[in-house]
Amino acid sequence: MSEKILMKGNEALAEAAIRAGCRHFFGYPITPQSELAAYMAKRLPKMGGTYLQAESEVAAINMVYGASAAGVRVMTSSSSPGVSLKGEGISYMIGADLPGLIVNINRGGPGLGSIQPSQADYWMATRATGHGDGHVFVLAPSTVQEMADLARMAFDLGDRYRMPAMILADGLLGQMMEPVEMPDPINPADLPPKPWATTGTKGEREHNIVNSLSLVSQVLEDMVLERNERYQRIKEVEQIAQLEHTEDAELVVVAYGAASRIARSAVNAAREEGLKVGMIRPITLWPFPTKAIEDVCATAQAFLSVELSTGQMVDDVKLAVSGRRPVSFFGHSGGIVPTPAEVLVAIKKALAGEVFHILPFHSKLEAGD
Amino acid sequence: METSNTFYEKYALLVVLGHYGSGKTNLALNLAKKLSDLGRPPLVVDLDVVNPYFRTTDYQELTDREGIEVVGPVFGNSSLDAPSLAPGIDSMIREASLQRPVILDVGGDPDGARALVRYAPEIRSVENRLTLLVVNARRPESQQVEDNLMMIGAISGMTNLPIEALIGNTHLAEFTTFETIEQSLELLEELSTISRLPLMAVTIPAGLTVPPGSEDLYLPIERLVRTSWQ
Repeated sequence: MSEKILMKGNEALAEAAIRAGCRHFFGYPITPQSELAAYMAKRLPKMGGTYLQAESEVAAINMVYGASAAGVRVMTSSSSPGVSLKGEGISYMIGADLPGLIVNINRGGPGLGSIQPSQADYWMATRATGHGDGHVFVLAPSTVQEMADLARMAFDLGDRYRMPAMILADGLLGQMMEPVEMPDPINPADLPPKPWATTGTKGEREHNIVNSLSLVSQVLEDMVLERNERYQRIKEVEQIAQLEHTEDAELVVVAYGAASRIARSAVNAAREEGLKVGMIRPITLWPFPTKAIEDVCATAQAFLSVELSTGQMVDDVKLAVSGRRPVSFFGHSGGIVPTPAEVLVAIKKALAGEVFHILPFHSKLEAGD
Repeated sequence: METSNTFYEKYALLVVLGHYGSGKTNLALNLAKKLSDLGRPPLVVDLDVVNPYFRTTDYQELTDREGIEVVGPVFGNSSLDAPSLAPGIDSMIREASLQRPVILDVGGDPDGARALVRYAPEIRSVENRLTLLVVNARRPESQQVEDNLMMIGAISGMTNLPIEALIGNTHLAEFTTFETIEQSLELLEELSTISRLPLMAVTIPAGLTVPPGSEDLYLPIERLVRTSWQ
């Protein structure tokens, strides 16, 4: 289908997952991702797939583990508090080297927080999706089209590296509508084989065992180190970022997801005033696009991270910049979305040589003057 | 087919129904603005209890400026995900008049329309009312005549109120061209014939040129529902 249709981010992600060969969804309802589950509930049973509303998030993620061990493309979706609950299961999937898509339509926290858009799960997604030495891929769409495109990429990366993959979006991206072009569907039977999956030996091979328990220290260390090597390889080859106007930029704004849409408006407004400002939009949050940041360090004088949080990704920007340039931060929390005018004020401050970490509560920005 | 882009002037009560994302809120706000321009500022009731994002109560600046009163769910603008309806909506509907029209902006799909059930007697008591199905032919579940017929049946069945008319609202957000709209006409006409529901009008983004002779068909509307970076 090449004709563009108008879809919500949640729907586009669901349809793209189906077209990526996913026929199994296990979840538990939570705002603001419910359309995703509702879409799957309507579509999957008609295609011979499974949609199951589990008794809890913990149950759902363990069903994902089971289906993944059996070799199929499988997913779950939730929002912040629900993803916290899935943390244990995600860690088990990491430990058992199982792929699978976890969608987090981030809402405000901590605790029950709010149902409004937020990026305050950055740390959870990139640092601690679960206990232990491990990572998941974290992909951050910024358009409804990317909600679709990154869903397929997440399945492909997960299968290739035998790792869970997360799509980290927020309520704005989940709920907003934009025209999308859907990728062609893949027949699940045409997906690359998974020789490790527990599909039955048919008397022709040794048993496959999928497990994260390892009681012999040396065996466990070997496994953790092997996984760590994989992570290093991924950091080398799988970083993705979009660069805009960075060639001559004196200030580089770093923003992902919905915040990047606002930052782009502010960067364009700054350019119209003749200010040399560019933007780096991380698309992979793990692996973080350190190379893109290192590359612009040669020309950029300063960095500004803009987030819907009190400042989380800014840590990764600072690690990548590694003290070579000042890194400032501007953000909102609690479901409040910064305006382009506010970001423009922060841009001008940073261009003037100020280094800051601004939250409106203790330093209100006077937007528009 | 008799269409009139001023159809909304004739009703005391307009009930806006349709699929999720068909553009109900944007249409409701536009109709409210047009009525307000006629010197009849309406009361808009936000009956969406299913979606906490992109709803009429989010557009207070606009509605304040236009003198449009909006009644929203008690917790509609907070972060509390609690389906709740404002008190007094019953009497507001009963008192709808041409001078003080009421627009009901209902949640999407039969699920969202469920909130109407308790107001069905009040709605029926208003003589010159119109229940309107908003159709965006570029939504995945509105592209076929059968899908739309199912939506009509499901919403009417849920609310116990017949849908009385159709309004075309085919768009691709800011990427809408005249062709986008023109391509939807065949579907709308077929849907109108089979469902025997009149097509009241077809919306078109203000600024797009309408072919001469078809001005009556097209209702120019603005994009009032926007994301925060637009």
